Amino acid sequence: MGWQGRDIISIRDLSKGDVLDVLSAAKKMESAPPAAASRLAAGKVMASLFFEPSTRTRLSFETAMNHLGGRIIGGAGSEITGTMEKKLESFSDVIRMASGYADVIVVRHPLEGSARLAAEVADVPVINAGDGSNQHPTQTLIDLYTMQKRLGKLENLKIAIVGDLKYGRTVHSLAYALAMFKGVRMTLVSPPELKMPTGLVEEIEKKFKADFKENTSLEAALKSNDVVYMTRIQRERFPDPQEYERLRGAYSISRRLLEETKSRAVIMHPLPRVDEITRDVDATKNAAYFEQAKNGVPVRMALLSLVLGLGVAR
Amino acid sequence: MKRVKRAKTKRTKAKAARTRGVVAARAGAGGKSAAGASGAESKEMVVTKIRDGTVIDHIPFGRSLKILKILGVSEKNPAKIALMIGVESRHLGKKDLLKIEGVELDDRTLGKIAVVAPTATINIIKDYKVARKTKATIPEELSSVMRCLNPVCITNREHIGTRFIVEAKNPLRVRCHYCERVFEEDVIPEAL
Repeated sequence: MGWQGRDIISIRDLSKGDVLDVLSAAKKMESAPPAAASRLAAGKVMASLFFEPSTRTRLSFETAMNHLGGRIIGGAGSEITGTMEKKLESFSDVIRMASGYADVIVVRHPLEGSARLAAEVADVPVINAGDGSNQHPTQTLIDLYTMQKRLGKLENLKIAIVGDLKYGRTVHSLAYALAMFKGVRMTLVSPPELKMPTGLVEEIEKKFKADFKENTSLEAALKSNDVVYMTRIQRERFPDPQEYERLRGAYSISRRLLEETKSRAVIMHPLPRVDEITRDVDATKNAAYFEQAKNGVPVRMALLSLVLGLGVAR
Repeated sequence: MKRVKRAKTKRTKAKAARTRGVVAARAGAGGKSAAGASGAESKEMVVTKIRDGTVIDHIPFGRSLKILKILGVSEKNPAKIALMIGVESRHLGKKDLLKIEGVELDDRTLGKIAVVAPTATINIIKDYKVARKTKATIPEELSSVMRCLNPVCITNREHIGTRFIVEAKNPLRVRCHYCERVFEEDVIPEAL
């Protein structure tokens, strides 16, 4: 499938070949001199429509478009939703309108399936920057890019995915994408209340013959994996605040724990963190989460460039 | 509305036992009974033949009421329908059966029926004869057949039709095209 004009909505829409295309383009974007990319998107406009708050995703998409020499319209939170609510305008109508102004739309919305609907009503490519608890495909591509950069490969990796595996959209997409790569062994580490949905595990096992294990020990995960992928226990996904308070500190990595377990694992996290990684871990060689956030820029430059048919910086 | 006569022979007694069930019938405007006895000697519960319309047979026991809901039958919207619940069946143990006078169901309605009654057979009746007999078939995709049970799915907020990809037919499992949530057979009737 060609890239120009394509929507990026769900990791389910991407093949292993597609994933490798993006990672390869991101590597070129990152290694090329800044001037090489700076006019690729000249004359192009990106609509940045964030119907709910975002820091990293929005900033890195907008930085990516700036690096490509394109322009940005849009806004975040009440800048968009306020007018919509006041005028009772539908989401579909806002997207249709933006599609008339921009060459590409980046959308985040709290309702699941919103990005798929946006892609159906827009005449220009739509990139999903998160639709509720459902999908966040560009985060997954950034995660894979970071692993590839750190470890030099994606095949035969041992990866522990830790924390809120029930509500976290990031880990659902990540597990799906990792399973595409040969020999990847995943260990799911979570409290029983926050286990990865059985249906998803079964789907991935069936589709990719993936190798999953379940564990509740963070110590064991730190000792035996190449990557430990931490996630935040998200307050906004919990109907019961008491349950949230009880589980938030259940899994936390500190420098002391890294030393005790002699862990050489790469520690990743989609951010923001609360207390699942203590600040003293930041200066260790294991910490890769700020690098991961930084990798959002070349990966999103690559995606914008591919769907806009701009070519790659050299 | 219904008449069940006593049979004289052991054979008819046995047959009567197999077909015993609840008979309910709605009479449309000007309609007489939809169920009746075919003869004084029969112990069978007999529902009169329909001239033109649809007979849905082999409905899993108890699902016919869901089908009535799909058909939109109510006191405000009466149709001439004969409904049998809990009829004994060799294949299903117990089954339901529906006869609908004067109505030929469209493909979308038949798709909905297949979702709640995957074992059903559909007989199109023309001039008292079976003109066409088909098995209920669940399509590969269900378009606007059911609502999404995920309360935060965009389809429950925007005025758009729903789409579900059928991932498995037996037992039925569908995935919402929009929110990607999966629903299993046991909860799907709630969404119709």
